[in-house]
Amino acid sequence: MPPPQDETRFIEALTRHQPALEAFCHANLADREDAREVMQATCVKLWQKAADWNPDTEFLPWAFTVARFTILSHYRDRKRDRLIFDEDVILAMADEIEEAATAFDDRREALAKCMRKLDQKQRALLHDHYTVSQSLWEIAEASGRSLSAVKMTLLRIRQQLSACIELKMRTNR
Amino acid sequence: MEEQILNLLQKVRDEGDEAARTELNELLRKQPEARTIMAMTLVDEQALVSHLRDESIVSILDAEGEVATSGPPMRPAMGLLAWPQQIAVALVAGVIVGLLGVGVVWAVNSPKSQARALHVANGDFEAFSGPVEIGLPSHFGRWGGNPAEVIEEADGNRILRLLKTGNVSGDPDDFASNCSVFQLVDLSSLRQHWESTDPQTQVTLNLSARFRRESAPTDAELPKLAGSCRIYLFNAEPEAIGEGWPRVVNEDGVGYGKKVIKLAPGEEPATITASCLLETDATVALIVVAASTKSRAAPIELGGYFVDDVQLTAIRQPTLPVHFVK
Repeated sequence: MPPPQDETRFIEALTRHQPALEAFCHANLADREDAREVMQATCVKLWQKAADWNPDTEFLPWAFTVARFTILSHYRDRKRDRLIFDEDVILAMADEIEEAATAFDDRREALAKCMRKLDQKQRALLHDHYTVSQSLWEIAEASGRSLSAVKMTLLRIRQQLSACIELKMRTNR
Repeated sequence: MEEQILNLLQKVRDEGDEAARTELNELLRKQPEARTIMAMTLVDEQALVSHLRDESIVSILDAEGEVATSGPPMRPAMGLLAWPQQIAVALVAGVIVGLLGVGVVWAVNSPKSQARALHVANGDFEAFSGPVEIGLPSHFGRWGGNPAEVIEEADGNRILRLLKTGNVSGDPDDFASNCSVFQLVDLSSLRQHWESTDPQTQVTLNLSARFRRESAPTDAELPKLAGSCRIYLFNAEPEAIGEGWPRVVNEDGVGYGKKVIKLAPGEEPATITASCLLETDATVALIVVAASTKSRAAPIELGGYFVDDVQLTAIRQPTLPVHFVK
């Protein structure tokens, strides 16, 4: 494995941009387990190819390219177990995903502000579903609500957050 | 269209609905707008997961009974960035010790200790009375945090009274499990004083405070109310801590210690001490005295929780010799 030309700058860049890279993988696969697996493989590949990166150029576009090849390789390995998106759809969404993932830090900051507008019940639902990884069915059962009511609540929260993030992104432009 | 996309995505993920998967892919193939929405939705979903993960880390730090309170002070060298790794290391160590049947004995060779009090501005709350500034302080030597005030008691003693739970950002809609009052302490003088000394020593920071609880109208709603002292160590500028809170705990935290006490209304006051080892790169200590409701509820009046005599002490002692005995 060739040592990076500038190991410190490479590690700094990787650490700095890891969240955006993670978002890129997630947006391509729409599945947290798959995204985690691909993210790990991407980090290994980035390290192996570190000598190819010129520290005077932007890190993210280069890292996205490496990640894209890793995603496609993962897709072909897993073809028997259908992934959420078809391969041609992943390729068709490439530009949109790259653009959104590049703005990840800004979107995350906007989301943090938008989260403050949610009430306790909404926050608890998000926590249970996305942090504790409870299924909507489990949440419905635990809360004594119908599955469709929980689904609808989650949908509305996601829409509320999306609208708020978009508004904040436009305001900050 | 956003609703349609979210609905389809939910069906594919939760129900494995093949027809929904086909429909979703078809939509993304044909509609450029759908691709933009999908990309942003998923990137925002990752932002949401990341945000919730950070919140959970802070909750873990706030949780009662963590390692720092019950055992020897936590080694900050393990760092706050590595909670899962720390747990994994502990589990692995436990398994190895259990399997090999090895007993571990700490043999202490009567180390000579030196103590040095660090300046906590108005640690006895005698210098002023009135409300404490709202929000996490951005400079050294000032108290600030959730609603609290310094009051003068009948005997003339001044004491900090924790008034209401809140969040540090001051946002009324944010969750509010604690009433916390913070102060930033500069560690540079301590470093200058002890930097040239024998490296075979370790320094422990001890934060102590006296807690008292009296009856309050909301007592029935606060069955789990507990007082706590916390120390966070950072390698960061003081302004950056308030600006980046609570994410800064994850990003720049290098040490942490906490001690919790549960007092019933009217019970005798008690002094508790939180400890943590001073990591060499720590430049700032954030000390916190707090009352925690242990629930993420709307802000609630406390009224009967008091804190006094906040002291921060650095204790230097030789690194303890450890002998492993089979």
